Amino acid sequence: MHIEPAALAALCQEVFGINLDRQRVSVLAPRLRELLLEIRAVRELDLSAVSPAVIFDPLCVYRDGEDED
Amino acid sequence: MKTEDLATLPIEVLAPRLRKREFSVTELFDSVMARIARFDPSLRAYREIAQSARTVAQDLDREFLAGGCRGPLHGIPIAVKDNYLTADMPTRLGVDLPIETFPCRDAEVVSRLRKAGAIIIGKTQMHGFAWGVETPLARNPWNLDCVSGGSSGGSAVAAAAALCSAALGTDTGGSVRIPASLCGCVGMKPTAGLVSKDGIVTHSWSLDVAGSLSRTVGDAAIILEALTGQCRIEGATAPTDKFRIGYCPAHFFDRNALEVQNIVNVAIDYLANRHGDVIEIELPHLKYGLGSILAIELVSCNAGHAELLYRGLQDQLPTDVRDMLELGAFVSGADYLRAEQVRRLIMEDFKSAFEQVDVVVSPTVPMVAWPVGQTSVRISEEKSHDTESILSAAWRLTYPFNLAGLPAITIPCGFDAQALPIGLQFAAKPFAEQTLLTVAQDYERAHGWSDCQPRLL
Repeated sequence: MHIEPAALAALCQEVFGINLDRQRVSVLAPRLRELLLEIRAVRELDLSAVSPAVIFDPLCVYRDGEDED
Repeated sequence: MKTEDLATLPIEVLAPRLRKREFSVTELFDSVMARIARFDPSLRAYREIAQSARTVAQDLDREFLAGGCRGPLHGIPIAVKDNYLTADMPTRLGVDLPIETFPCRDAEVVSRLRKAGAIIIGKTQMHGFAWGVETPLARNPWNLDCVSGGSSGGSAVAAAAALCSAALGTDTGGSVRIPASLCGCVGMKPTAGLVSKDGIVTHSWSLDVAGSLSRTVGDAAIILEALTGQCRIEGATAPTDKFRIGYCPAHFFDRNALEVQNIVNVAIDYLANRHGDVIEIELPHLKYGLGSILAIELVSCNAGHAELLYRGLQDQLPTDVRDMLELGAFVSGADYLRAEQVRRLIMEDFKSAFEQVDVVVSPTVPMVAWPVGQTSVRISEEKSHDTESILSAAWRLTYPFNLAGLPAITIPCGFDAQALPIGLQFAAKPFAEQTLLTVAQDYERAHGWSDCQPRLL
């Protein structure tokens, strides 16, 4: 399926909220590469037995006196 | 004493003298306003001054005359960062965009300060959306050609230049401690969750902490007590009170500017003499810390503000804010959860370390304030030290304590050859604010760096 550049840009705007025209890609791509390399360095760790520091607590809303921050 | 000199006194000196009626709340307020009128056009610490603040000062004087005193903050002028909601001033997150509006009500901590008798004097400049370490408009009071730091830059300038008695900031990766270090004042980040965040515009839910910027450690303790009802320091420590001081060579001492390293080493020598040996600790997972905090912060910020992108308003955002929001869209959910797993490992590292030591010491920022407009830095001439972005370098020593949720404080510990301040950072285990403040105050009183004030023209 061929998508016209303008339609692709509109799609990216709608899906990601991002304007991915050529100029914007040239700004973001190098920084994104640098960031993702840093973020994905953690993949070398075996984290299978590690619980995340922030765990979601969906039932907290039912408890009285819960901090509303 | 000249009226203007009142503004330069710390809260711990002002409070008893106000109670004795040596001067009035209104005289103190007027002395601060005189300094703002004289110096803020060049320092640009403030976004907004509260129009009703002088009336509040007069009301607080009447309370004093009637025999009432709300405590050590009665009549003390305090500024707040532009991401704290206030009933009497708009909140703009440090940007001038008519695209996001916030309620006109007081944040919980602002409300507590008012009840404690503080005068909320104005809103300070901040790096837009609390993302960034410069605060472009505010200038460093020690050198107007240098940045104030960020993101609570205006609060640091206002506190350091005595344009208020103290200020509130927020700290997500170092945003209180970095500008405090660069401007030569005290910056306190309490344990995550100790101080309410209600009414503070969120940057990153699990990293944000409300903190203070002040001229002394004692003032930081007074503010923390007003915000939490605890953590008061009961006078100076006895000479025999000793704490176990730790330091972590890896990460905290392997990439600092030489002058910063040398000055901090002198401070550590003092601590070793005062408290006994300084103990070496290890934090083996901290080498993954940068990736962890980047994933958490970018995802959180995107989640919190993506509406701006969906509404097609990105062209109206400051460039760095737009970059942050857009880059956050590309960090996967799996990467975010891995980051939270690594964060757990880093917390466990700190937990082990705090079985050996009471306080961890380090520099606060690897370098002194840099010239406005500088975007990259080479920390030292060593071959292994590449040029890196200012952001990457500036928060390296502060973000670990946000990831781990630990209390940390920066205090002045000297100056470089250009007379720019250098900060010394202490951190402690969760809710050990009293230990942290006691060790920091002991150092402060032995050295007197807090008495140094910038020469403003």
